[in-house]
Amino acid sequence: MTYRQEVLLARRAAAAGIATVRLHYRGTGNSDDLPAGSVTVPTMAADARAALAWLRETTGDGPVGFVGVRFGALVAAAVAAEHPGAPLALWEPVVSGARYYREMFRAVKVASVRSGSADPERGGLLRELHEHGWVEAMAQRVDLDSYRDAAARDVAAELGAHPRPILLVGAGKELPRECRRVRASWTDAGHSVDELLVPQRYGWWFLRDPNDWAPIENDPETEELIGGTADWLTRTLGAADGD
Amino acid sequence: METETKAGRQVRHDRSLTKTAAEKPMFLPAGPERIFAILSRPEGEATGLGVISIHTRNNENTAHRNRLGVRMTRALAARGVHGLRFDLHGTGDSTGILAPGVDGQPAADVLAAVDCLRQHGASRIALIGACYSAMLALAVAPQIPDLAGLHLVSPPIASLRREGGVNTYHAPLRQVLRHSMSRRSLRLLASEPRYAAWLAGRARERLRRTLSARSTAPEPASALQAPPDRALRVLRDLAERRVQLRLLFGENDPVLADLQAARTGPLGHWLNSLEQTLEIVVAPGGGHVLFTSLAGQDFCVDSVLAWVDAMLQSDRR
Repeated sequence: MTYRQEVLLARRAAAAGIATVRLHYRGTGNSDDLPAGSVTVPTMAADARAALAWLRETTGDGPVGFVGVRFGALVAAAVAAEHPGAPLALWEPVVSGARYYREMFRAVKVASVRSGSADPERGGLLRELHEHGWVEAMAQRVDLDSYRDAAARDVAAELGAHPRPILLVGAGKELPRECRRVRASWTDAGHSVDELLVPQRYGWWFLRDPNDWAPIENDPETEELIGGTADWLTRTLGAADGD
Repeated sequence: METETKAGRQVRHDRSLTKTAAEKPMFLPAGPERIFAILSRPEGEATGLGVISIHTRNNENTAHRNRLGVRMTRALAARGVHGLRFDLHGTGDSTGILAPGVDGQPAADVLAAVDCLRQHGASRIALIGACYSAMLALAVAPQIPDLAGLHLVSPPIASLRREGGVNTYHAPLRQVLRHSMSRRSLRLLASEPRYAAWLAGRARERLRRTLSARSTAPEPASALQAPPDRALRVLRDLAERRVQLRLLFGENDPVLADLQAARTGPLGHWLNSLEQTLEIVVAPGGGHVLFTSLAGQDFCVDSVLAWVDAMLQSDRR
């Protein structure tokens, strides 16, 4: 749902002199397929490493930074952990894999109530996932193996202890509670944590109303999101280059 | 193919794995913009047919919802068909800011994709569109002399006056209240402040829409759709040209209901004259554009492949 914003950020960063690579993990988007259930944080991190290797080969060595969006925060943190001091920007990060799926399954429940298709006799999606090995959520297949892998992870553990600049981006008046918690623990551990809050119509998951057809480029919050993140990357990568 | 019955419908969940090896990503010039496109080259002998998948515009990209665009174009390539998926300007990886309507830049985007397919050896072109992009495909069709087919998912050809999009079904208030007042929902509201904020935001937005619908003139021209008489005239001309026309709707799609209702209204004579030449397929239990469930996505892919097979068969004859 944030694809266009990610494209705009990459182009803004490139215009500021930062070579940027975006990727579709294997098993998603336009990349090669993977067998059902085999897309996990380790496979996604391996893909991100391959993209980074290509970037290095193409543009040479230099300071590197990472941006993770929602679930991608777990992946960005895992790869950033291998690059001590590398700046890390996270848009509405999924702080815990288990919580991410819990929210997703709740949203499915809400949608089924809204559409009138809710079946009070039906058990929870989590139980169904364990019974059948996969479940349909938000028109996508969620596999038990992918779920188990993600549910055991949280962003703080993936990132590790090396101090680094971190930008936490949230929508609304304050960061979500779980982000505030991780922010506090990162600050205590010596990371330099900045915060960027952008106004968002519904302030949850960066989702826009599907009936809102206005180009996002015209939204003032898009400029705050893109400009704010690009400026932070330029500043922190510039500082890293100076070191 | 492994399938499983889920909610009364067959859901496919173990497909053969596809690769990017035979695909070519590129940026196509389309007026002042550069359009990102991916060509799936035909495997084996090329049939000469090229099919373009146009995404539904809002928040989408070449891969489309749950990789529907990828599945379709790779399956087409396996049949010897050139499959092209692309981002309309202002979406996905293309340049620009999305313009409203179906003429001008959106039409130029489609025509750039058509040119690309011709350059890669396709001698006949077919278009796949859904909702907005179905209307875009219809608007552009008269400009494609070698058009062989149109596969339109939920084309709102009789829904010009539908307000606020077509995803307008809401459960009755009593039912929503019963569910939202359940112990579980109340616990969620208390424990998750963002859930409450989100619900309040939706309620505000719904109120705003209701009030604005009451205060505005009853017939605002929709920026999304071509006038229905134009769409129907194009359909009739295409039918005369023996273009393979298939319209696919979900059984519960409000756009299908509009079309059925229009048969008894002023558009009736147009629609009835088209009845013999249009193939209308209805997916049981499906909603608008069908992409909102795995079963709907499978139905859509199967429908596209059946439509392509019919075109190839007709070529052989």
